Amino acid sequence: MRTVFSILVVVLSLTAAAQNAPVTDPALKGAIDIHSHLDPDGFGPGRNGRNMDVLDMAKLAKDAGMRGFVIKMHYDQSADDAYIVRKLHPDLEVFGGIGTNFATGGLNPAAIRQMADVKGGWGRVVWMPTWDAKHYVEHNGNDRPFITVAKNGELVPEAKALIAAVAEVNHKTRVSGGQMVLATGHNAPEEVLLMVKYARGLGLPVVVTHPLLESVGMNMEQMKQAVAMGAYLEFVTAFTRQEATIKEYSEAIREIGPEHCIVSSDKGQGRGEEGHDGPSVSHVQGLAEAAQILRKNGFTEAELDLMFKDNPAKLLGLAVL
Amino acid sequence: MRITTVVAAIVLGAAGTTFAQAPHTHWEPYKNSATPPSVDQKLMDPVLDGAIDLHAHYGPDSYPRQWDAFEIAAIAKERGLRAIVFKNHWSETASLAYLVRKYGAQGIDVYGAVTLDTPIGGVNPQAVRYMVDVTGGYGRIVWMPTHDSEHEVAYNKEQRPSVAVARGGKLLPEVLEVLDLIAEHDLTLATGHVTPEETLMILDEARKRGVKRSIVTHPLLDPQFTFMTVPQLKQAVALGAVIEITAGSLFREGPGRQRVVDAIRAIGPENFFVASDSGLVGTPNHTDALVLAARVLRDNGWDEHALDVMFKDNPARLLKLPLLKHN
Repeated sequence: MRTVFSILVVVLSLTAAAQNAPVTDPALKGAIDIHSHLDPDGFGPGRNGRNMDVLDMAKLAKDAGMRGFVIKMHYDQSADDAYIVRKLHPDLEVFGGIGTNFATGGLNPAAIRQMADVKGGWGRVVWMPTWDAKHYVEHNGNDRPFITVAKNGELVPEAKALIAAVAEVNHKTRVSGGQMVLATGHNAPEEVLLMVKYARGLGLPVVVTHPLLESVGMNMEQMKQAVAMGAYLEFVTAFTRQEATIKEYSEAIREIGPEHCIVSSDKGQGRGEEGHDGPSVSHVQGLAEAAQILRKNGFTEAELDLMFKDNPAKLLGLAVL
Repeated sequence: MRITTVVAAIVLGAAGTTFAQAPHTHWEPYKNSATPPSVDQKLMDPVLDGAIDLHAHYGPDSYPRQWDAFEIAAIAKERGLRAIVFKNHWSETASLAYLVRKYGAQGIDVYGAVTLDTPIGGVNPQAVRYMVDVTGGYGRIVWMPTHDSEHEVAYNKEQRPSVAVARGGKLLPEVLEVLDLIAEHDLTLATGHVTPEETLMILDEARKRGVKRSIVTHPLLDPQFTFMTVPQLKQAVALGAVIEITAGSLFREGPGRQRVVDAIRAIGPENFFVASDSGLVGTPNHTDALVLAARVLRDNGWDEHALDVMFKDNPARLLKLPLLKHN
């Protein structure tokens, strides 16, 4: 019992140390993480919060020399949190976004317009349905209501209206007049491609949400189609955990070309979320590990810069530094 | 699985397709007018000592707000307030309550809420569940639809999606589900800007379903919001509700002041509480507003005990906080 407790203490303190230790990597200098899960958040009935909050992240990002991050939400908007972080850390470029799951009314244009209208106008990324997406619910074998984005090979009118609302506020966010981004969420590959086509047609920058995670599951041909329509592909740092995924991701990015790819952390997990057992890893740590592994697998500093810095900046309508 | 209702989401999704142009709303002029800023009068008054503001608008918001949530909490703490609830018509505020508690003024209880207007899907049970789940667990009040209520949109003759709470004299299923959630999580209900009849139906049903604390949202402020007569308010009180008075309806000159004074005389201060509803640029800030309202009540004959009931004890009860002794 005592031994177990001691081990627990060691693990916990290692976790805390991992989160707080300064992380340095050339790929982080000027990087923007487009997928940071952070408190305050609630992610499903009775489930715990994130491994740190938006202001903890601001400090770590600054220490690592990062340029900024996007506060990813499944169930809420984070434009207001982004405003608060920027007020306290004016030297960081922090953005908010919104998930389009049931908690904000599903495919709800009013949610998009309101987010764009929040002071600062820092709510910039709209994720199509993630945890409540039909594809995701069915993929997980859940029996619960879901949100349908496409039928018979076509986006449903509600999905089109949602994307149109994003286009409507593009470059018109309050105060900042900034660029909006459509992220494709946890939808089926064919649905993702329909969204990319529709959103690109309306002039929106698009990022395909982690196409190689099981929750989406795109093949090379599909990823190339998305890229051909002008979308960026997002690769999240969970791939660093296994040799198989390290190989898969390295080869995929090489074949597609780093100029079309973005590496984001998708961290913040680790306090009880399913599929994310084990010590919690900070967003910054996750990015640093990914950079080191990609470097080992043949990617140059210039290529890492594209994936960690330049492409995120372009996606968000920022100048490339 | 606790997800059982998606009606609200579907209704709004359908509404969205017919809603291509930018919304025109009666508050749009507020957003773009060059109002001179509010002046912090720094008023101090015994009524602030231990007071609780259950209706505090804050920045960042889509309305222009002069002070942000951190600044408002700091001012409130400095002037003696015990607790504050952040109100936003379009977003949950439990998350902001968490950040302010962790990084802002200490020694004041900051709470959040959610309002069931269109941006969170209308009367959307999932939005209530989310607020309950947000880190810290500081979400306390659920407002039924306010600016997007069917009543307010119709009253202002606006062409935009609205949120209904009843049809054919019966509350909608999603309203019942939200009332059940309020009861389950022991939250406080606020009735929003619905019609008087809808308000009474909601209060009645809430009590039947085990909701323990209910607020009638400023029913004496203006016809575009819920506008109730004294007999209707007596019915609401009989259903266990406490009536909200917003400070401005007391300190602003005009017929509203007499309406409020008459209602408190007729129904008794023990059935009322005063909240600031402050936040608009150019109007008194939260603590100033409470002091100005208290002065008007004193001028109309209410003593310190009555003020304590309306500014401290009733708000404490509505937040499930213990009552404090007053000097």
